[in-house]
Amino acid sequence: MKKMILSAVVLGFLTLSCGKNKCAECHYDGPNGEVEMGVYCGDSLHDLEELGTYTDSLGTSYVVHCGEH
Amino acid sequence: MKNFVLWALLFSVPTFAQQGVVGFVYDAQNQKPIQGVIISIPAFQIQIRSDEQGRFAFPFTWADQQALRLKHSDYRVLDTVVLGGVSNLRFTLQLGHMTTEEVTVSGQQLAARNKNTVPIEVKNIKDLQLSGAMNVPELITKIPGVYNSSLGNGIAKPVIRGMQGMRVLMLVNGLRLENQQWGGDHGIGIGELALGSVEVIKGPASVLYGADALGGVIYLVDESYARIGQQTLELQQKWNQSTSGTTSSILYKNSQGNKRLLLAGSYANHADFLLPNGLYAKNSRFNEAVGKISYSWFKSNQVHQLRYAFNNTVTGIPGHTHDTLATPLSFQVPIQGRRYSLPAQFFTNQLLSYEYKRFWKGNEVQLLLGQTHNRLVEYDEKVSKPFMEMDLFNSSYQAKLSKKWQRQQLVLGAAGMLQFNLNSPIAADQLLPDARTFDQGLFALYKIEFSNRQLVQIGVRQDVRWIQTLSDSIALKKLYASPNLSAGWSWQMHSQLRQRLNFSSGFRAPHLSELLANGFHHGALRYEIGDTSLAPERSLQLDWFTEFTAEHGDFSINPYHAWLKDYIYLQPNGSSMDGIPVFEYAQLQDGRLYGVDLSAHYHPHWLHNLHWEGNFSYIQFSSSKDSAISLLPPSRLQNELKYHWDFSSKVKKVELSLSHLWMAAQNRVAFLETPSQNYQVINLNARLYFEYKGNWLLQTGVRNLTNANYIDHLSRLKNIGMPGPGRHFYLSLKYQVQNQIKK
Repeated sequence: MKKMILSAVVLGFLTLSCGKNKCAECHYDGPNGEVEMGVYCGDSLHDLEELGTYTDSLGTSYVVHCGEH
Repeated sequence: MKNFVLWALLFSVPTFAQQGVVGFVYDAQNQKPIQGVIISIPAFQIQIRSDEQGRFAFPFTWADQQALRLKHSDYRVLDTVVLGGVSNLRFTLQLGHMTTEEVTVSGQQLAARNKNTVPIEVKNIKDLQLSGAMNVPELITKIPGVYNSSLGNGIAKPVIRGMQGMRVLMLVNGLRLENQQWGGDHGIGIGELALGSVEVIKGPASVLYGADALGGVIYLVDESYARIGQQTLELQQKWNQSTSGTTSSILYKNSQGNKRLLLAGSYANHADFLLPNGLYAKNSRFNEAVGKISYSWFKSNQVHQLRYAFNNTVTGIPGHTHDTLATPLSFQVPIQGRRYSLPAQFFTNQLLSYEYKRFWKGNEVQLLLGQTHNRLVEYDEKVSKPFMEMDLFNSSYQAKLSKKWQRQQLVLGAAGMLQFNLNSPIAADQLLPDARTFDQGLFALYKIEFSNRQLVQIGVRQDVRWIQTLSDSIALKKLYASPNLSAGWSWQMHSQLRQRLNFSSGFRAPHLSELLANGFHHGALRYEIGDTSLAPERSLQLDWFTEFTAEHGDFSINPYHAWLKDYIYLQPNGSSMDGIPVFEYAQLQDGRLYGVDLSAHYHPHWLHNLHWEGNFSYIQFSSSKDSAISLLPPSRLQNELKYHWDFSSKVKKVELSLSHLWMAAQNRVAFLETPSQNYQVINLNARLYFEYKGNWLLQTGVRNLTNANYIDHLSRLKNIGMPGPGRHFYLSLKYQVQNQIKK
């Protein structure tokens, strides 16, 4: 019983805390198709999504998508 | 279980000890004792079972007179009143097959269905589960006039005679369910776990439940507690081929002395559902966790109930694509997905309630206090930032005094709620502002039985609703008030024919979303603009209900006609915002909603185990100014053939069911709404009851047997051309063990 309660507490804690540092794979739709940007987590993910675009060396901006759509 | 902390806390006090009531039940013809009769006291929600000597014993004596119900599948139901202080009882039951008059609670009084002038449909959830449906709104579509509007399997809402969302009031054990029901894409957050029955009032019921009960009421009742002196444990596992999904549930019940406990939990995980063409409905996946705890204790003249329920659903929202030119195939994928994907909705409901009943001299006082919390979070394009995040806190109360004379009953009551709608500051958008809503209502119901055959019931109610925003930028203060009335007459013309005529009114104050919306509603694929000058909707309905009951069947016909005033609807204004069409709220000055519900049940004398059940629903809307309202349900015909075999071996019973649904085409559509074609769906279901170290129930079936490709008119996926689920199997295994608690 003690193990059950402990497991439930740990599981509950993990469930509650996992939302605070979300990670997601991001990509942008380039001229030749989807370009992977890698996995972003936490503040980096938040900043990238707030910016919403990726600008290449030629100054062209593309819309960024993170997570499975 | 010995170390179960809660158990120890709840049952550590000395058990209730009083002199009890002992009784016997006999067959009226041969005077032999009847075993297995369920004797219940509905007001206490207590039941016990007679043993092989026909003997039953309540471990307490009730102080005041109480209604008792005796029920056995081979006998006619016996309803009787037993005076307080009586300690010895003797009953006889008459042989008979039909047991149609269930006790209802949704009419604001505990009464057999035939002792109510309001036509109330009652269904047992276990019976409805034979259909293999995946959610509560789909389960109750077996009731004539009740439909389901869904956005995949994870989000579904009940529709009563064409009314849904804010026009249908949902109650769980009397507690008003507030769950952002204004949005067509918001689920109800109630699972079928530990539900016992559902009662449906079709049409306005504002006299009973105040504002918002304009289209009808869905009243869900929890499963009954274990019989006194028993504990039961139930485990169930379901598997669905369409969603490659499983649902696991556990239910524990314990009734000892004057205390009862019910604990239940379930977890469901379903992937995208299978379409008739072999593809999958993209992002229709969902998972749901449900928890429930109920604890009740009683004394000889009072009952207390404390309940808490929790529901957390994470569901994908289908209908999202980045394709420039979207076609139906843009939303259908060859590989079934289960992983969390955007857009998604997180929906949490928490319901806490306390109910108190006290009885004296034929009178009853009832107090219900409730606190609910609903959290709705929608993620659209961003993983890290919700598009919308709202918390809805609702505190409610209802106080009732019921006074009975020999042939009269008076119910006086007051009900109110205080509601806060709060937005999270981290959300990208606010569709509704922070606001406070306050409701207060006073009502009176009077019933008089002129004889055993005729009764009249009238009711009046006055309600007020205050709405006030809590935001400086959007200031709004509104007060809406409305009187409501109902009058009904019930006449048992002869033993087999009953007539009921009921006239009732309803009103619904405009919701915040209709008054102040100004933003994208991605789930509905609309930009919505509210109107602060909207007036309350009103409705007056006339129901005529004729029921013919014979030994081997019954038939009912229920035509109705509702007059609507100031019906609020969404009207596209022709413009678009970021490519999404803009809709404005508008009002229809007048309209008439009318139709008929038919239902029948027959089982031939020469083949008792064969049952045919059928029902037909027809709904029509007309108005002097517009052609139709949107999402008007088409005509529907449902037929079901059931046969069962009873055995006295380890295998107890085998049940087979073949059901057929015919849904007519719907061409009466609102402006810019698409029509839909007719379709037919056949389902085959089977149940096997057997015994092996407990009771087992194996249920299996095939849904959409012919793999019909259909799009339901009320489906929220109609606009993207997404059909309903294709042919699929399901399997469910339930194990139940029960034992007598040692004293």
